[in-house]
Amino acid sequence: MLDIADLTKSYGELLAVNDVSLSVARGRIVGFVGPNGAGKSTTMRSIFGLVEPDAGSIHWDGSPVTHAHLSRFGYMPEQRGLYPKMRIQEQVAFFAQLKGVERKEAGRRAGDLLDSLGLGDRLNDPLEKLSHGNQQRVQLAVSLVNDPELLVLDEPFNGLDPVAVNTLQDVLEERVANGSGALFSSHQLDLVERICDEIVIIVNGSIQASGSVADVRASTGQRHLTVTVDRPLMPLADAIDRPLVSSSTSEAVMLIDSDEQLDQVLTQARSVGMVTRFDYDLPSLQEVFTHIADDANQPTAANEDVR
Amino acid sequence: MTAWQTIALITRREIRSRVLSKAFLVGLLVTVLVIFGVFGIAAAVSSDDPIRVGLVGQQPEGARENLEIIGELDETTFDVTEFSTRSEAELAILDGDLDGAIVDGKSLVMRETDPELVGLVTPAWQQASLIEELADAGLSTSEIRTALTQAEPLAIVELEPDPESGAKEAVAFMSVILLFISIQVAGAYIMMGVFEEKTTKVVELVLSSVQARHLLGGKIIGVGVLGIVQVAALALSAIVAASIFGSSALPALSPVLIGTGLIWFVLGYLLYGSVFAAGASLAPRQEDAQSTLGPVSLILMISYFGAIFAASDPESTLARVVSWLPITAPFAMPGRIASGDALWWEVIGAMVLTAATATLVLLMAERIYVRSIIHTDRKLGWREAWSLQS
Repeated sequence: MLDIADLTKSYGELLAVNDVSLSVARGRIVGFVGPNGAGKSTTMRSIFGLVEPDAGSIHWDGSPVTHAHLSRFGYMPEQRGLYPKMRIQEQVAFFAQLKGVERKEAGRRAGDLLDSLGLGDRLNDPLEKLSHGNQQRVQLAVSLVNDPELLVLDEPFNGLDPVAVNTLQDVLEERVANGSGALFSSHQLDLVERICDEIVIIVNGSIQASGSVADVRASTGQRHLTVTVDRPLMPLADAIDRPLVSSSTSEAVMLIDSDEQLDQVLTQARSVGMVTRFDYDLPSLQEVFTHIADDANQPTAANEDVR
Repeated sequence: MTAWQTIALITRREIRSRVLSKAFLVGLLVTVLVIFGVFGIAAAVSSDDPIRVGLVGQQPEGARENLEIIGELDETTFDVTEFSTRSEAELAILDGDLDGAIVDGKSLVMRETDPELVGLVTPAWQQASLIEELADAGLSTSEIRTALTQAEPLAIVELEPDPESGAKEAVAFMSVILLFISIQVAGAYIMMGVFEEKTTKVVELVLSSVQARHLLGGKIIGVGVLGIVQVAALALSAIVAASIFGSSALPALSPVLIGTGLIWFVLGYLLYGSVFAAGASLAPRQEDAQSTLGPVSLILMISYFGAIFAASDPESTLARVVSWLPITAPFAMPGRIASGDALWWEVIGAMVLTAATATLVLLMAERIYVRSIIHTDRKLGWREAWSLQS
């Protein structure tokens, strides 16, 4: 289990990561979500010692992470990069050897892994001869070749075609089912919602919400409400004095913050016509994320909300 | 994984990727060919082509025989042709078919004055004419011969006999040039290797399993091993070429010169290669590297010209100074060793001094490299990198 506790890192004036804590248990996929520059990459790089944190600690199975642990982790950096002229099987095997896999075994594993990713007939091609998408697959192979106990993937879905997205999802789920832990960052919230067991939302260097998908969707206290009226006297939107997500003459969709607002909307809807539908659910992850990001960008509101 | 296992992996990859690259193999082949070419041309220029002499009209008795004797002493052969008229001989000279013609035993006709020809032909004819004159004056041939054999030529006394001084100087120049090229090429390889990893960002992935100092160490060792192989190959081809073409430079290509040459390569390579590595680690793009490493390349060039200058006058004060100065010693001292002007304690002393400097520079370069290699997003200055957090 990976435990990051109270991680802080600043670059000069810029506070890149502020008191970040998160954990990734074996058998779990954790999605790391946040706008660009929120501190996701800094947090992930600090696991590998690529960033020296100002404060905080990183533990694996209870002991502080050192260079010796790194052979048990797999990493896909946000800045993709491999040796352009090196043959792909040799290249993947090289990175396996750097993680302590014995030479013959490394070559065998590299071949098998690339084969399973659909590159079985390209093993002796130099990387630069491959298409962009196939280079991404090699990058994925490098992160998996040492059978890591912890997978850290920074924006792994970026630049992948839909087929490759499904392959990556399958690979992730298979590895996690075998007892690995996985932490990955992404902008694609639908993917995150589909794949992840847990979500961590980070904005401006601070964690704003974390937990299971359901927990995070509930974390803002908002509800996603849909109201429908029959035979309206006027457009439903005119009667409701709240910002709406979408509306038509007889239907309105909105986010509400409290029971009082719920009651108020019901009264207002009744004044227009007969209420035929009044149903609410947790907001979507996208709505929660937008809400959190907006709040965080208005400092006073954010402080009230979070603490 | 121990540190050395990691370094060995990096070294192995470095060697494989360079040895398999066309640039390395072509570069090595071209250098070997150039060496063979130099010896071949030198052999061709000093070849034993016979000197072609034409004879027109009456010649003093015995002149021709004298020419043969002089030729034997001088290891030169003469190709003597007789012409019936002077103009025929002159035409042959102008056409380049003849080096010179002796007309009526009185004049030596050449395209222009050829000191070698004059030096060889004149005594042969003078002696023959002298014998004729003395005979005319009434002396018998046997008296003349006795007198001539009693007149001994001046005895030659050499204070510092060195039949190979010209060859030594040539080998000295060659040592300076080859060491400079080898060190510069190896430095460039280091620089390109560091660049490649930084610009492709693969360094992020490598450093997620390996410590930066081990990456640097493996790279320096890998390129260094290739460099040693290259220097040894060049020395070997020089020896082979010298023996094939029967060059007089062969004795100067001593095991001492080659052994110390390899040591000087390693020292110069560590000194300059580590600076190139550190400089390359500061620059995320090729363009940035020009300004970062420009001063280093300039120092390298100046050192080279200093060493060449020293090789042309190995006993000068300048030669002594540059062969001791650590930044020039790796090129300059081998030149002095080749020309035989360096004393053994000077060589050892300069090696120790250069090794100490190289170690210091290497440690400083490591500090800069380790701090700056991971910053793939922006260009760093030397001073900024020095004071970065590791």
